[in-house]
Amino acid sequence: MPALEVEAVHKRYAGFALQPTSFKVDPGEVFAVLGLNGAGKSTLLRTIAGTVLPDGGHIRVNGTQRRPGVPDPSLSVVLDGGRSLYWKMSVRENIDYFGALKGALRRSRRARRDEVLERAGLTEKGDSLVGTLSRGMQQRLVLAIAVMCDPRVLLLDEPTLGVDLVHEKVILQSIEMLRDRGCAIVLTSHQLEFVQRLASRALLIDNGRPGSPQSIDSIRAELGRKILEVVLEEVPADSVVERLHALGASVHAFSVRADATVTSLYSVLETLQPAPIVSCNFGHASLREVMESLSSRRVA
Amino acid sequence: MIYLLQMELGRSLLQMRRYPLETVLSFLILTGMFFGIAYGSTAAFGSTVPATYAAGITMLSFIGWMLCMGLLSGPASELEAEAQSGTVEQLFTGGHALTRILMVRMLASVMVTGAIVAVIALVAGRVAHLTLAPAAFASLGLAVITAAGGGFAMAGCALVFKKTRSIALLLTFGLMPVMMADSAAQWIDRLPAALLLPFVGSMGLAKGAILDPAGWSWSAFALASLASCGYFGAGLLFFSRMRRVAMRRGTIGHY
Repeated sequence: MPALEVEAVHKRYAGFALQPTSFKVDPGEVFAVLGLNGAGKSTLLRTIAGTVLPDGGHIRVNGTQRRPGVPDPSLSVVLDGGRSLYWKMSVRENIDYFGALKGALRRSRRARRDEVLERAGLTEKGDSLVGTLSRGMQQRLVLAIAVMCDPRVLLLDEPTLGVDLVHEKVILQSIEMLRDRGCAIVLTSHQLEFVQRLASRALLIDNGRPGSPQSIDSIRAELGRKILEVVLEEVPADSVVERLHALGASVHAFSVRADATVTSLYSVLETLQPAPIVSCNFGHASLREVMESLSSRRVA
Repeated sequence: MIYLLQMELGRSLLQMRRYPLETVLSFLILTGMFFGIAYGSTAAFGSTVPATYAAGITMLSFIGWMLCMGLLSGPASELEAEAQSGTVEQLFTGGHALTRILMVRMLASVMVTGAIVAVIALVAGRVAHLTLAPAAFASLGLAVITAAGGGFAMAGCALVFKKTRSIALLLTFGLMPVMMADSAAQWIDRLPAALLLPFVGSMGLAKGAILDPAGWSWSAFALASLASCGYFGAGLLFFSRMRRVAMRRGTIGHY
């Protein structure tokens, strides 16, 4: 049974709509949600977390229907890049307080506190005020607190936002450890290297439109694809645009983009003649192009 | 739940320890006020029965005002601050329902403020030869329940509208009866329905218990209890609706 099932979940605000989104995450799997800023990743995570009410769809955690606003101890959440701590309280006090909030029992307080401190690598910093810790230490503490009650599903929104490489590595190891213990993890991140090391599958969202879940390998292959971009001095005529489309190129105002092959290069330039060209470059496929390309494929 | 209450009490005491100047000044101001009331009444009336009544009623009104004001605006301002610091969504996604967390926080606030104020009032009360009847405290409890309902309503507004200081100021007028409420005995004869107004019945009964303990009316107490529970229930219902509105708009964590 999947640890998390998201089925046709959709949400519309003024000026933004998350289209019906579906995916499943198995125990011990890390699943990434990728997209540009404003694509709808955080809305999706918040909907699963229960702080945003979806317009429709179903969310099941361990087979049980999720009811928004109703606490579920088997699901834990780190939102807003892990900013969520009481800065005027010490590390220990934060652990104790969030332990109580998560419904932990008093009798195991000391052992739990020590475990969280050790997991976050902050044993020496127990009495320090959270506000005096570095961003990376705070992120580690938030993550350690989030998993103190052994959740079955963990949602991580930008867990490495603004942290250096050393702390990123520690966070990565913590997530790997959780994954190995059977926790299903859904994470969003703009750091594709980080995602590639952890996740086995990913869902790309573009402006509220989700693709279908893909294996990380197929996404990596797409991201490695080179693209030819020709920038024109004027918008091409409709007849030229039609011929370019027939070649498999896309046209956006003054820009023409096509696969970076020699054949494609000659065909595009020949079609564009005698239009004046401003520049002609090779670059990587954008996330949007990757998504457009992947959305037509089957789920790996 | 007990553990959560313990943690909330600990957090309140921690705030006091972490901001010592604020704590010491608040304590001095409160002490000055209560002793001012006690000495003022004996200076105006001498050690007489009217002096005791005046001091008792003023102190009771002041205690009521402090507790009710804290309950009305406290949860909303805490939610505002937590939305700013980013912890409000943690409250939402923890193991307890937000309603329960707010309830526990209110209870902790009443316990801490009540304990401090009660000690000062008892010491100051000795100056004015004051004895506060248990019935007065029971009635004060009803006012606290009413204020807790208002606190939930305000917290609901804070979830949706984020800034609620103006609403809190407006509601301060609603607390006028805490200070001004006439003895409940007056209302029973003239207009019993007035006891259903917020704080009028509860604070009227509390003051009546000091002025005329023999005139205690159980029917008035029942009516005031009904009103207080009604306001508490309405506040909870409003909070639950507003929480849903905030979730629908997706603004729980916004500020």
